[in-house]
This record gives sequence, C-alpha cells and structure tokens, in this order.
Amino acid sequence: RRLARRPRGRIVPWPLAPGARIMTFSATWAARHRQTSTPQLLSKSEDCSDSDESRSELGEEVRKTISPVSRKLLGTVVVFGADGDLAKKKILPTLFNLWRRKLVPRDLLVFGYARTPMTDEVFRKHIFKCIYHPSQPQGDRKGFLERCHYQGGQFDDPVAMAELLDQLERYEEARRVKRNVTPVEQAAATDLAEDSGGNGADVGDPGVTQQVRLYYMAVPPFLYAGICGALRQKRQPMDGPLMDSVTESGIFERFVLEKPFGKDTASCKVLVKQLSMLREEEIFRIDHYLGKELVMNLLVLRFANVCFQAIWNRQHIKNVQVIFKEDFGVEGRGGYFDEYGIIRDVLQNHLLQVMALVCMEQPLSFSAEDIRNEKLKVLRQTSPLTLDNLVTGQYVKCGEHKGYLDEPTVLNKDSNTETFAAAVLHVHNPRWEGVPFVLKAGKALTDRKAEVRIQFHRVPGVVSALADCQANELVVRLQPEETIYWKVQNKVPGLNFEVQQIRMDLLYASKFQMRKLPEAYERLLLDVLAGQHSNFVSADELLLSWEIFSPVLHQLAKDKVKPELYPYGSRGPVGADALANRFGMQKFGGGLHPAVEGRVAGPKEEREAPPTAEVASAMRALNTNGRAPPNVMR
Amino acid sequence: PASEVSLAVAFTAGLALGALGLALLSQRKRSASAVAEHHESSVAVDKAAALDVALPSQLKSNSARAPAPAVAPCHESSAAVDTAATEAPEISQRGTPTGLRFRAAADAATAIARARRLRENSDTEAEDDDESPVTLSWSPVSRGACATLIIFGADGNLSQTRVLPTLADLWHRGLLPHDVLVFGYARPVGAGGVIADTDDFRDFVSRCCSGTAGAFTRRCHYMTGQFDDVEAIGRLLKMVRGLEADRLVSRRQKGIPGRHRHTKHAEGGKHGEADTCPRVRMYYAAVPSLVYASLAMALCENGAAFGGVRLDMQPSALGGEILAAAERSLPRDDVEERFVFEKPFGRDTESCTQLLHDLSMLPPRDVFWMDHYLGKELVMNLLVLRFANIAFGSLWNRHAIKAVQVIFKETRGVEGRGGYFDQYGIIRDVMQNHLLQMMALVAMEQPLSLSAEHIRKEKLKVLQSVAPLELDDLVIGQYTSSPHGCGYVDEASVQNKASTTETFAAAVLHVDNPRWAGVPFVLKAGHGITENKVELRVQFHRVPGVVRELRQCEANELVVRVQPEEAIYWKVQNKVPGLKSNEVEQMRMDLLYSRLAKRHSRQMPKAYERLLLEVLANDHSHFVSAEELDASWRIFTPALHQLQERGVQPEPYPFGSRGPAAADDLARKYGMRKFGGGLTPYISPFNLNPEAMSRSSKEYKEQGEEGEAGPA
Repeated sequence: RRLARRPRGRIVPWPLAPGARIMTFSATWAARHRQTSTPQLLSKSEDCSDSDESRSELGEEVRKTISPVSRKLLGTVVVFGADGDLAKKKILPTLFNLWRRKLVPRDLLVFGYARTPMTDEVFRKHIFKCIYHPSQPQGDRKGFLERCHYQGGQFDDPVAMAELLDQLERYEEARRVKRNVTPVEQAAATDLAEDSGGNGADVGDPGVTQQVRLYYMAVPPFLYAGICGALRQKRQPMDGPLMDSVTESGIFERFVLEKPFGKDTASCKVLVKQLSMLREEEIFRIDHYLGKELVMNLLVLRFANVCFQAIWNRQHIKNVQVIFKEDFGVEGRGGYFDEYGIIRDVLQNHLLQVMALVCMEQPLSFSAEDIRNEKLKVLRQTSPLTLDNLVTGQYVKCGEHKGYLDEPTVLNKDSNTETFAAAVLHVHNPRWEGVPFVLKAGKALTDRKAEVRIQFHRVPGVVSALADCQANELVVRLQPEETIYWKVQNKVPGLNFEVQQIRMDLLYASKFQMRKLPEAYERLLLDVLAGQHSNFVSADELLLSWEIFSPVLHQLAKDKVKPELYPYGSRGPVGADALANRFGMQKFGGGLHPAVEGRVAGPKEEREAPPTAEVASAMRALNTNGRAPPNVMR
Repeated sequence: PASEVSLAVAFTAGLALGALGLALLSQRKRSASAVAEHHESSVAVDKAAALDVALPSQLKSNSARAPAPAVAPCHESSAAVDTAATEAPEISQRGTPTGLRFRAAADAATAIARARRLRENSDTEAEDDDESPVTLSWSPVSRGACATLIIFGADGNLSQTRVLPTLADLWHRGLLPHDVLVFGYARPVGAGGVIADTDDFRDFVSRCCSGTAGAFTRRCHYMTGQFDDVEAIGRLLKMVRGLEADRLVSRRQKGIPGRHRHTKHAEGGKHGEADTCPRVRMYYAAVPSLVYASLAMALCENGAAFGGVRLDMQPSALGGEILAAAERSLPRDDVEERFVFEKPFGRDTESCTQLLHDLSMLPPRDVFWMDHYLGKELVMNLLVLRFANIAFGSLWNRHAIKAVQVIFKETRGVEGRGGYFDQYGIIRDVMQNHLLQMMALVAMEQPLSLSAEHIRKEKLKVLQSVAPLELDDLVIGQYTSSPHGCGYVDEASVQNKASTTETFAAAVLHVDNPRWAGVPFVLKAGHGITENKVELRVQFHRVPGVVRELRQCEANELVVRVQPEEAIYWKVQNKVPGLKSNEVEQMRMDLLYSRLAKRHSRQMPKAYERLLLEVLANDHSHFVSAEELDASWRIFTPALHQLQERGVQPEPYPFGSRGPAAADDLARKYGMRKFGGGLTPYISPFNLNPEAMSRSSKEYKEQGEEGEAGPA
C-alpha cells in the first residue's frame, strides 16, 4: 500500500529513512520561497509526520483508511431543509467533499427534502451551484450529482414523508442488490454491532456492513418534533427497546440537530421532551466548534504534557478567556439573529463548550461518555451568570457600514438584541476557585478571530531585574490560521541585558505544511456516520449550559436592558473594559494583530491596532451623546 | 622630504574624506534610521571635527568639497571612514618613512573599500529588514575609554584563534574604544616564540583575522621576553606607559580629553559615569597555567596591580571597603587594571588552592576567571527563562523534572592540542568548568538580584551542595582508530602512547537540596563523537496518572541548544491534525534563535566578544569566582584521584561513534535508555542525497528509536 504511488518527478529509494522528507520539486520550490531561511532541525516524529502526510497525499487508498467510516457502510443522508442556507453553504458542499475524497462509501445516497416542489433534476442543478469549483474535475461532480435525489413536501405532512421513506427504501434496496448484500448478512452485522455495545460498528472493520440513515435537520428547531414524529410514525416501533433504534430492516437511524436548541432552560426542556421518541444515542447535536482541530487538541495538550498539566490550576492561571470575534455584522441573518442574540447564538453553546474542555478534570478515558461526564461535572460547578458580570453591546453605523438596527433583515427597529457580549463565569471547584473565565463574543469588531487565551500569574517574588516582565500566556488560536503559542520572556540576543516577550510557537501552517486540516463539518458528519458521540453535545450538557445563562437572559428581557452601543469596526463597547478592569485585566483579549502578522513573533504586533479615524470619531460621538453605557452605570 | 610627505598626506586624507562624503550621500535617504543611531553619528561628527582641527590648513580646501557632515552613516562605515581619517594625521605627525607611508595609503584604501562595501551591505539589508542594528551598537564599554590590552602568549593558539580576531572585529564594529592599544608579549624566537617584532606581530594579526584586520594592526605593538623575566616585563610596561602617555597627548590635541562628552551613552555600566573617562589596562594571560604565578609576580614587581599599593590587601568585606576608599583617593591618571586568566585553573583542589594562593597578590576584584561558556547567549538566557517565566519557573523542581543533562559533543579529536590535553583529560578540560557552570545555572535558587555578586553566591551555594562525584557514577572512554579518524594515542601530538587520558566522560551528579534531591544531573562530554553539539536537556516526568489513551506518550522535554544554531524548544505531545481522533505525536514548540537574532541584529555576539568587553567594563557577572573554582574542584578531585590511583583504563570507543557502551549502562541505572535526546540529522530538503538517506535509515534501526546522528 505504501508503494502505491510515489511522488512524481523524483526517484526515491524505498524504504525511506524515517527522517527523510519527501518533497517534490514544487514543494521544494515552495519551501524555498516560504523563506524558511532557518534550516529546520526537525525532530524525528515531525519528520515522520511529514512523510506520513506525503504518503496520504499520494494514494486515495490511504485516505480511506483514515476515515472513521467503514468502507462497507451503506449510508444514506437525508437533508431536511435542502433548499435552505445551511444546506447550501455547509452540508451539501461538505458531503460532496467527503464523497470526492473517498472518505465515505462511493454509493452514498443523498436525499433532499424541503417545502419547495422540485424534481431531482432541478435539485441537482441547485447542488451543482453549491459545489461548483473550477479546479475540480467535472467527473467528480457528475458522479456525485447522480447520487442525489429529492422529495418535496411540508415538514409535518405524513403523506410526503411516507413517500420519502418509500423512495429511500427503494433506492437502498437497489443499492443492496448492487452491493450483493443479503438481508441475512446485514442482520448479522447489526447483531454484531449491538453486541459490541455501541450503536456503531468498530471503525473500519471490513467485515461489517451496516446500514445507516442520517437525517440532517437543517430546519428551524420548532420543526424538529414534527419531522421526527412523522419519520417514526411510519414505522411503528416493535416491542423491545432494541428495535427502537434499529428499524426492522436493520437500519441505524441518526438524527443530526443544529443549534439553537431552545431559547432558555424551559424551551430547551420542551424541545428535549418533544424528541423523546428518539433515543439519546440517536441524536447528534452539532456544535461545530467541537469539530475544530484545536478544540479537539485541547485535551491532548492538557493531559499528555506535564508541562501544561502541572500548571493548569488557580495557583498558576490568572484567568482564561475564550474569545470569538467577527469583523462583519449580522447581514442576511437578521431575522434569526434578532430573535436569539449573540449570547444564545455563540456564548451559550460554542464558547461554553470550549471553556468546559479547558477547565474539566481529567476524564477516566477519552470515550464519549467519560468526557461528557467530566464536562457535565464542570458545568454543574459553574455558577449561573449574573447581570453584573455581563456586558452587552450593539453595533451602530460607522462610515459606510450599517448599524445593527439599519440592517434590512432586522425588522424590529427598536431591538435590544445584543451583538456583543462579554461574560465572566466562575467555576467553583478546588482547581478553579477565584479564576475568572471570560467568554467574549462580538460581531462587527476589528477582526475575525476565535481563540483561547490562558493568562498566567506573574512570577511570584520575582528578581528585581525582571520585575517589569510580562506574565506568561498560552494562546490557542482556533481560527484563522491555527496556532498554539507560549508568550515567554526571553533575553534579547546581544551584549546588553534586555528582556523581551517572544513567542514559542507551534504554527500549524508551518508544522503541517502539506496537511489540509479537516473542516469541522467534515469531521462531524463522518463522526455521525461512524456513530461516534465524542464531539457532540448531550441533552444533559445542553440543559446545564442553559441553566448558566437562562437567569440572566430572562433578566435582560424583563428589565429591557439596552445594550451599550459601539461603532461598527471598533473594539466593542467601553463597558467591556470596565468589566475587565474589575477582574484585574486591562482589557479582554490580547493583541489585535492580523493573522498574517501572526507568522512573525514579537511584541510589536501584540500592540493594539489604533482605531481608524472613522471608528474613533464614532466612539467620541457615542460618548458625548450623553447615552452613558447602561452597564457601566449599574 | 617634507613636500612628499605632505603630498601623501593630502592624498590619503582626500580619499578618506571622499569616502566619508559618499557614505553620507547614500545615508541621506535613510534619515529614519539615522535618527535611531544619532549618538553614533554624533561621535563620528565629533571625530570629523577633531580631524579638521588637526589637519594642515591646506587640506581644508579638500574637505570643503565634501558635503557638511549633517547626518552620519551607519556606524560600521563611519568607524571605517574614521579609521582612514585618523590614520592620516598620525602619519603626518610622525614623519613616516616611505615604506610605511605606502602601507598607510594602502590601509586607507582598504578602509575606503571597506566603508563602501559596508555601505552597500547596509543598503541591501535595509530592504530586507528595516530594523536598525541597535543591539550590537550597544557596548558595555564606554567608547571614550582609554583602553589598553596586553596579551601574554600572543603567539599562542588561543590568542591566534580567539582573542586577536575577536578584538579586531570588535574594534571594526566600533564596540571597542577607538584608540585602544594592543600589546603582544611572548617568548623570543629563539626560545619557542614565533614572532620577532612589532611588524611581524602586525602581519600575524592580519593573518589571524584572515586579512580583515585592516587598520587595526596599526594599533598593535609587540615585545618579546620570558614570562617570568622581571626585566623584560618591565620593558614591556615601560613601552605600554609610554604609548599610553602619547595617546593621552594626542587625545588632548584632538580635543578628546579625558572627559568625554559621549560617555553618557554608555549608561548601564557603573564604570562609565558621565564625566569620567575610564582608563583600563587589561592583562590577558593566554599562557599555560603553570606560568600564571611567575607572570603575576613579575607584573607586580614592575608596579602593576596599582604599583603594589594593594599587595597586602586581603579579600575580606572590610578589605573591599578599604580598596574602594583607596581607589577613590587615587589620582585620576591611574589606570584600572584587570587580570584575565583562562582555564585550566589547576588540576585538582590542591593545585587550584595553590594557584589561588600564588595569585593572591592581585586584588581579587580585578581578577577575572574566564569560562567562555558563561558568555554564550543561551547560557545567559537561562536565568531569564527560569526566573521571568512562571511557565518554566514553577516546573523547575524534582516533582516535575526527572533528569537534567548537560551535553558537550565534538566530532573532532584532540588534533593539535594533544600535548595539553593529555595532561588534563576531558573531565578537567570541559566538565569541571564549562558543563558544571551550566549545571549550576540550571540548578541554582533564585538570586537576590541579577548582580554578579548575588548570582555568584547562589552558584556557589548550589555547587557546595553537590555531592563529590563517585566512581560508580562516572564512565570514561578514549577513542580508538576507525575509518573516520585515528585513535587518541595515534595522534601525533600525544606523546605518551600508553596514555589513559579520557576523551569521553559521562558523570552523574546529585544536588542535595530540597529542590533537587533524587534528580540525576548528567554531565556528558566527548571528543570524536557523532556530532558537534552543546546542549542542555531538561527531561520531565511522564504525566502522573495519565488518561488511558495517552499512556504511550513520551514525556516532555525542554531543550536549550547552545551550539550550533541556538534554539530553545519544548518537546510536547500534540494531536496529529486529521480525522483520527486519538493520534498523538511529539512535536516541537520552538524558538529558533536564528530567527530571533535576525530580527534584532545582524549577528549574535560571540562569547569572547562579550566577555572581553565585560572585562573592560568591570562586570563580573559572567566570570567565575575563586570560591566557585574551589567548590567545583571539590566535586571532581576525589574521583580524579581515584582514577589515577587505581589506574582505571578508559573504555575504548571507535572514533565517530556514540561513545562507550558503558555510558548507556550508567544511563539505564538512572532510568534512562541512554544519555542525550538525539535529534535526527538535519537533511536539507534542497540537498536530498538518496544514499545518505538510506544509510541513515539503517543507522536508525541500529540505534533504536531515538537514534542519534550517524557518522557523517
């Protein structure tokens, strides 16, 4: 298998040294022009990873083995809301990519279901528009489109739903015949899978042929119950708990749900109750932050390295910040956004999940259940957010950019919906008592970034000569340009004694040069097909995370708290800095360096970009308007 | 004839001014960086003004052609131009003979070419990297200082390879005072010396610097004599004093009096107080340690060491105060004297004590025991890393650290150094001084401040808490012939063909204090080993009670590579990006100095540069104290004596191998598979050689998982 294909244009003897770096001419050229002027002394393992990578770049064969999805899997993906935005932007392109890169079986079936009446042909044209990319061969697209079908109908219409199911069965039967899998064999596979305790077969086990139906709910949450009910109604469950999850034909059904999962604890409970006809194992609640490479890496970093693990506590860590910034406003999403706001949209799910991974105790193992238990524990230990520890903001017009209320999609022109929120949470356990956990999210800010910053205490009892030194900081940047770096103090090389903050980094872009990091959606869809729950949110977690935010959300609504205004493209409301000051920080977040500058380490780019003249004048105008920020007043 | 002399003067001075003008023109466009280097430029302007005064009036017309020196060029070129300029009046004053005159002209031409080259370089570099070279332009030594350097054993290996080239380089870069005087002293030609007189010495200097010495050679003087010959040294000192007096006169003439107005730029050194001009005389003993005592005696008898004023002073606290008082009361004309001694400082505790006793007539605060490893950038950085970062500081104890290794490896054998080496062996040559000093910096507690005194106190404390090395914890080896090189006893310079001198040693030391109890400190050094490397490896424990899925993970390691290619890196475990969820691999989080140095300056200061300047600046931070010498010998002396008494044979290992196998046994005794971490040899992606690759793969298999580099 290793010999399957060699890099073109260079004769390389085999076996290669473990330290050998296979580089084709273009790679060499690229490396030279990337100005890796420092000859990298790569450790062996790194080198291995490189050659490993080049191998996986070589053969399609190898790719398949990387996928958690068995090659024998009989998979069907049904997308509800197939004409919607999410399907268009994420689901269909992701499915196409997976299919194109052979990470899913070639005979995958894709069904669309939506209210719009369409024929298969029209639907395929729609998909074609979503997935078209000039660099990809026509053949791939054609092949994929042939796998796609469509059924139109209302989401609670049992007739249309029954028709869909019939159609599914027809196509699946045809595929079974083509694959030459007898129902007996499949039943055996199902038994095997059930025996092994999971609701999925062992990963990559070639002997198992199981049939999986993935229902992707790309629709508003209030429709979930209707759809799932209709799907279940068709097949009256036989007796016995087992048959609950496996239809009589031995099909695993998996339901993928998208956020928002309710608006508060009560509505979340209702939603959970409505879906009680599904078993918890069948439900995959997507939080695509959990599929991000660096979020998944957090656990390895923390628990495989004594150098992080030993200092991961309140004695060393001063605060933890989970930051999400976007440099654009709500744009077309105003209708949805105005109903939810950024706390529900980002803080309560994405940022809280990341925070849970940062502060959870070591799990018994990395199985989905053990990790979930630890996350649950730490969420229980987090006290509900109070209004004092929260700053909300809403962006206003600045220059050519529209303010939130000016967006055409925002209908309520008197809306109090927040587009910025900074919250400080506290985790009450021996490890974290007294450490503020900052969750900050905002739209229409200076730049686009998601990162975790772990800020350490200054060295206690430091030598006087080093008293001016900055504290250490560990930064995990989730996007853009994945990086992990330490900010450490170092002597500036030279004759004089001068100490400077520099970065010790692990820039993914340079370390894994040739590797394309898998996208969150790709990874998560594969996980669903493979039946792995680790990177999904359980109902318990969901309820607990709502319990942290519900009280304050209710209070905001009840008191009609006005969000503090901030100009489009600024750093956010000034109230956030006041909140930061209260917790001993100058401001939330670190530097504002653009991602490109991030390649070069140093203190310079940590310095904050000065606000543009426009933003500055807008800030001044806001401050002098007499509209004092409500949160500061309080 | 006078007319010929003045013509020559006119010619050289004209050229020099022309060069200055050229450099100035090119510099105009870089006004921003010129501001940053304002003090450099003001020095240059000042000197140019001084030159104007000194020049005969008929040259003024020449200088009028050059544009007014409003903005000066970057400091290198200004220094070079300066050089050319100041050489000219000197020649005129002395009424140069014809031969010298041509040489002077040639020097001036070289200087101009140099200035031009530097200017071009600085222009092209400015495009790549617009940061001004601030870092290196800072010097601990006041530029206005009157400095005199006297090198004993000036024809020896050390001065040839290290001291003289370093001095020339520092001088050209403007880091040494411009009118520094360099004196060489060595045995006469008949008695083992190779240099006859000053001219010879100048040639020698320019050969040492492979031709780049340029005008620096003109600052060099030479005298021969035995090292214990009081009269010859008296003659030397007379010459030194004479030329120092001349220099003072010429400085006054040029309007650069003892009070120098630019010294305020040298703040940071207590020596460079704003209104004084320090006069420093440094005696550099690049001679065998046997003659240190007689050399020091001869110097003292000739009135060095403050003319014997302090002969009877003892190094006590009270004595220090008296000394300080005495120093204050001394007239300003007196020089500060510094005595620099190189290793070896004796062979064992007794001989070291004897040496210290023999040199006790020198005031202890003027004696600098040189250990050039302490001048290495990364060794100096250790303290900052440890004490300015909670990320390192709080891990720095026995709970987190499993072992500390200080490793010195050289591919070369002893080569020409056999005569010296055979007497000492690698334990005395490298381990007892360099490696032990590095270890002390790693293991010491936090000092009260980063002053020399406090750092030395803490180092002393930790050295005193190291238990003397036991023979069980020591492995010694000697390299033998192999296809890669000849064996130690086959070296031409090794006289004793049955020598049991060790060329490899691995020792495990224990520090008995609460922080380090139970942590083995490995010192390993060897000649004729696979690679050239000096590094410090701090190896951490595995994660206690690790999650099941991560049990296979390696432990963390912090590596500080001192040479080659300075770097600091963490070896951390990281998830391999990709779809596999539990694939973990070891990666490096690094801080490559080559990148860092590029951002800050063009060049990283070399250990000798830094240390020589610090001697002149009277900064003891990176020198060893006499007490430390004693403490470090106490660690090794018992084992060294036992080796000798029992006639322990070093274990043979082939030249170019990893060292004797017994070292691995010792490593296993302390729970390590082997000493050292081992990186893959660097295979340049631009220079793929299939043969080399397949060969190294074979060696990996032989050498196990963490294989070291195979023989080159």
